[in-house]
Amino acid sequence: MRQPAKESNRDDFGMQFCHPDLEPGSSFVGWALPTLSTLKFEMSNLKIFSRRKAKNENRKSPQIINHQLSMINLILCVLLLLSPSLYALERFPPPDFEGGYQMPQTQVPDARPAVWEYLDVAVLFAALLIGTWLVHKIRSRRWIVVLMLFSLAYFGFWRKGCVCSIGAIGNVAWSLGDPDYAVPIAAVIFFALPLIFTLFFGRIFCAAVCPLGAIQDLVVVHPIRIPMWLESALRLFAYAYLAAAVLFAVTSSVLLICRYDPFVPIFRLGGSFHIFILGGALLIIGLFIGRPYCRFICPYGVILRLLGRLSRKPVTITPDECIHCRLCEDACPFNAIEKPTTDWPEDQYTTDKRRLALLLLLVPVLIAGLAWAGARLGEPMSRAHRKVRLADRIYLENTGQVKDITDPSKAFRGTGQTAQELYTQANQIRSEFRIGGAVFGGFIGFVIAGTLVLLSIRWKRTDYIAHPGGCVACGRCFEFCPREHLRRGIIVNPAKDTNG
Amino acid sequence: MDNKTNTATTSSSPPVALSAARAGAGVAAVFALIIAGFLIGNWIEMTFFFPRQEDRLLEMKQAVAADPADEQLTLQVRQMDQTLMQKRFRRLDFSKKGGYLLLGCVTVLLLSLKFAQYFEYRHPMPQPQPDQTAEQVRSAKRARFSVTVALLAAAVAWIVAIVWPLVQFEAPTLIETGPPTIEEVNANWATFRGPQGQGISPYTNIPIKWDAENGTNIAWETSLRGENGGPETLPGFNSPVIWENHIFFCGATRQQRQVYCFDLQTGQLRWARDVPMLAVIDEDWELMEDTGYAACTMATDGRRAYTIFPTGDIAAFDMEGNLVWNKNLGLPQSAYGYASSLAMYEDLVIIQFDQFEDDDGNPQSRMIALDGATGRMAWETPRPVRDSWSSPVVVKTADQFQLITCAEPSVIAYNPADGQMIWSAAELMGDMAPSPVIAGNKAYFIEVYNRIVAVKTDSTGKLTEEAFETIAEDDLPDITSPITDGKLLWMITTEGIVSCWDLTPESVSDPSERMLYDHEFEKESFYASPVLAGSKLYLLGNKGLMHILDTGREYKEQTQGKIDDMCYASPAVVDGTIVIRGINNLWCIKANP
Amino acid sequence: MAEQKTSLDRRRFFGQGLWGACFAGIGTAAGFLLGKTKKPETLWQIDPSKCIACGNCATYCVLEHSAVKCVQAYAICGYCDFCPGYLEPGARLSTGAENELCPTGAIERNFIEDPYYEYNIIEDKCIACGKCVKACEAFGNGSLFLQVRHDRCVNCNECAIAAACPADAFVRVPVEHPYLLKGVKDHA
Repeated sequence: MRQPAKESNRDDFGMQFCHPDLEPGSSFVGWALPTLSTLKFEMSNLKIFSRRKAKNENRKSPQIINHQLSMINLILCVLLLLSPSLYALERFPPPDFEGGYQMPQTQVPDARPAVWEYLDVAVLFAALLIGTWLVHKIRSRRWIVVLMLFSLAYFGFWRKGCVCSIGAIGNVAWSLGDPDYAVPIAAVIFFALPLIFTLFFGRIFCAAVCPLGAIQDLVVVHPIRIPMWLESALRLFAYAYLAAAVLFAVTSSVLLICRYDPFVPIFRLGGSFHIFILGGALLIIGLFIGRPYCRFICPYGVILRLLGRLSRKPVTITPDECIHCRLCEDACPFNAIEKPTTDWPEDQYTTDKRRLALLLLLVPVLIAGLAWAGARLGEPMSRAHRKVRLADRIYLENTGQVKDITDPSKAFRGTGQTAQELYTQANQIRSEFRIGGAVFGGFIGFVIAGTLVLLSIRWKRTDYIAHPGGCVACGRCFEFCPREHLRRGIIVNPAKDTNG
Repeated sequence: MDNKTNTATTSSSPPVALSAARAGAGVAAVFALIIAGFLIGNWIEMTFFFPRQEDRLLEMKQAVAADPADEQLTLQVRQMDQTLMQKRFRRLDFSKKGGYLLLGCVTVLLLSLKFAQYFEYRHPMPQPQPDQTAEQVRSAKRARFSVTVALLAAAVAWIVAIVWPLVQFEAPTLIETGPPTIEEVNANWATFRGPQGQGISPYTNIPIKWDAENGTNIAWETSLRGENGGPETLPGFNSPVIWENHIFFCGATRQQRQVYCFDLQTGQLRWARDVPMLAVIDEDWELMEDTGYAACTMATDGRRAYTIFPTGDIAAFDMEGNLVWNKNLGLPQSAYGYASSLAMYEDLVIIQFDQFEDDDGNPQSRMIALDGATGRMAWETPRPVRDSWSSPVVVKTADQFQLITCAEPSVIAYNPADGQMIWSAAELMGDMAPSPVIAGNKAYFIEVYNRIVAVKTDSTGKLTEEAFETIAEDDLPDITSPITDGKLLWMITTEGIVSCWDLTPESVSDPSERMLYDHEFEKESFYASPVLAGSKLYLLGNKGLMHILDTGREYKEQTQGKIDDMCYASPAVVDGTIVIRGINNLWCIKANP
Repeated sequence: MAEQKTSLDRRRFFGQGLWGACFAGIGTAAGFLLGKTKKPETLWQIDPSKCIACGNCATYCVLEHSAVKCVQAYAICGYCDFCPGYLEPGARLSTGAENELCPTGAIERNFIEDPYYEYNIIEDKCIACGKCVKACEAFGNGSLFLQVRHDRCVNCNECAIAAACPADAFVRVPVEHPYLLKGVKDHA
């Protein structure tokens, strides 16, 4: 802030005045310079002045005649004309320093080297392997919690929640829609690896690797069992969210999942206030309703749920066989334990069969209907794309419906692109959104119809099982099972005992 | 945590530990709430109140700039600046530390809750179940119902999204009308000084007498000051241009710029539009008062109307007032403020973008042609000249169109289609403001305060001093442009001396031999350029008095037209009609039926 | 009994087919994307030629102390006495708070030799409001410009400033060339 008093050669003009600076112990010498543009203005006059023929001075130019070029200003102008650091709109020439001044380099702090990205991938792979081992072999909730804490610390607080499998959906979809977008290798692996693990071993990723899952799992204190019907309806939101996230990413509009990731501000201890509130609210809800984000919002959870149903070796409550002791019935805070079914009422067999047939017929109808509705939604949704918003704004401005211009339209007008070109591009995006909207609607129609169909099938289950799609492998139920206690040798099989 | 393997031993949990855990949870919860409250307060302060204080500081800074002698205020500014700076960083720091504290408290809270839960743990005791058969049927039924409700909710959301009022741009289809024909251009007054910028109207039915006092031959007058139902317009010295029923001109202040379109038949305002400001100007940027912020006359091709402002902002509006395009050409560096009017060639908007040199003496002037439909650069040619205030003209010479320009030190003719130089002549001195005129195969340029010269338009290449044929050395205007019918040439100076010069002799020994007459209008000044119509010369004085002269070789003031206004703009003349933009009113003069 | 068994077999066959399809699908998609991508990682950066210094960088960054900072390209700086980025337009040439443009006093002015002054950005104080950038661009050499500082940036997938940037100036740059500096081409 402070500077040394100016060199004395300038003081000779006696135009210097002293002005006490606010801060103690400092004083500076300022120059009574005319303002920036007066200066510019006077300089231009001066130039004209010097180049005009004498007879031209008689003309009626109020600048030169009326404007008093005082002696001070004249000297200043001469000074400035001589000095290379002249003020002008054109570039000032780089100065020639005489005092051996070394020009500093612009500092460019390094980014996190790309190698670290491979470390993230390695940590992910290791965590998945260890998680699998803990869930399927060790079957220890305690060690799963330890891994959870590690993942929360590493992927959450250390890596600040970025590179994450959930968000990677966006990268992958964006890359599919935009051939110029170079998707990071880590994002692809983060997207694919947990899926493959799920196909083999169930949702190990959710259990102990995902920092979002971990933070929610750790805050479960007093879980309330929410009824099946509510669960079925709320879960639909996650499907819609997944579809929307993919739609907006494929059209290169927005990475929805990352923008509204509720826990990232917690990992970063800072961020958008609104998202912070959202995250806090989800955690408070999470005290009573286990993992609300995972169950009702997480779009990656939807994919894992579908793949989990197919998994080769799903997580089991019991290490060997179910003895129908019913001890695990209330063990799961996430509604993932399914009871054995009893016989379905015989008298309703025909009604149920007819309903199923009707719902099966409804599947294509719902898909087609919602696809139509989704296509209609394409235009409003296309406003998520900045170009469409800009086109709308430019249209408003160009037709005189609004008076002011915004920063984006100002920047656009600076590019020299015509409104016509922008409208053409925006129209292209709109038509993409119409097609995308149809697919979006069709998908939601399929999900709703599919849910209704699945709810009308008379399932048959003989044992208590962890639903392979819904189970997040948290390991809570293991310790409820007497067979597990037996396996660990905490209790002894009385039958074996007598035999022995 | 979750240490449930030891559940067997915890059934008789010590109540002390339980209550300790509960108390811990309570304390942690209270702390967490307090910290959260502080953090939210911090956020509110930074989001809502801090910016207001910053604005206040900026206002105070401006006040100091306006009155640098006010030491009290200066001191206040410095103190406030210091306070705000400290506050900003203190609050940033607080929100960081508060975040860690909150995280810590929440962790303690969770641990306490888990401990409490651990002590409270009870074995699962499955209760006898109701009839499972009925339950699973009911459960499936309820779930189906709730999914259907979700579907209905989605339908409601869909309807809201569909009917929600959104701005939807409509991509307008370009109407391919092509450039206007010569006949169309000649029938209108599309640029500064009308067809080819020569100030000559092809119509012979122009009124030669009017009087605002008794309304003789005044078709209408519309207030430009917001009186008698007229609009309130911004000031500007630019002249009106006319295309069929549309009269265009613009006005501006330092803050705002507007384009106006009036109806020629009724005098009503058709539309007024703001022109967006794209230029970045310094707070102290200002122009000479005599130039004003809207000196450049607009141009139109009947498809769009174009306007340029001294900030280098150029815009095109369609005839209905929709902004078609606008762009900034850079802030022109002009001693008195940029003032050259636009010219048109077919669908090209032509801009004489003259500026003074940069510090190294490199010329910065350019000739620019933009495509009228899109605003795209059609061509651009650097000009080795200084800042000028004269307007370019596009004229038909013997075999081709030429774009003729006048500046210090060169007069240059270009091919308006591609910007190639056809000929140029040097060297003239002075601040060029009058625009060139042509007669026969010669173009006439005024070298201010010195002479008026003629250059042959069928020349090619770079010409020197020999190319200049001096026509006159006296009674030279410095603002208004000359006018010629091919045989005679008239000039009117700002001070009110009209002079007439004979162009017919091929050569004369002394330029003064060409002078036929000069005549001084007492106590009048002239800023408007003269107009020639129906073998009458129209000279508009700045008090609103139009002197209508016979175009003979002798001075003869035939009639006068009187309006009660101050006039700086040149009149626009179309079929039977004269439109004059006064300072207070817009006037339309037309023979009363 | 036999019927039930075939039904079970059919279901298992169907399930396994689906499993295989999913596995192959994920593998193909991942392989395709990995084959397509050439660069290991990209970072966010501001293209100074597009930046209009609107000030959004100061408020939209997820970090409270924005990862965007003003930087000085010394090579093109005019070392002006009357630096338009440092002083308020119309200010007297003095360093009192009332004359300085920067709201946080993040520009340091050092006397070099008559009449040159060096301007440094104190990064810890800079909040990326872009006031000096705008002024330097408009009235000076444009040597002050905004850049994402990669030691601060957490490289969000969906950069909040990029989403709010009115000029589309936020671009992804390869990690090997993480800065888009001004003047390097002209004065290298």
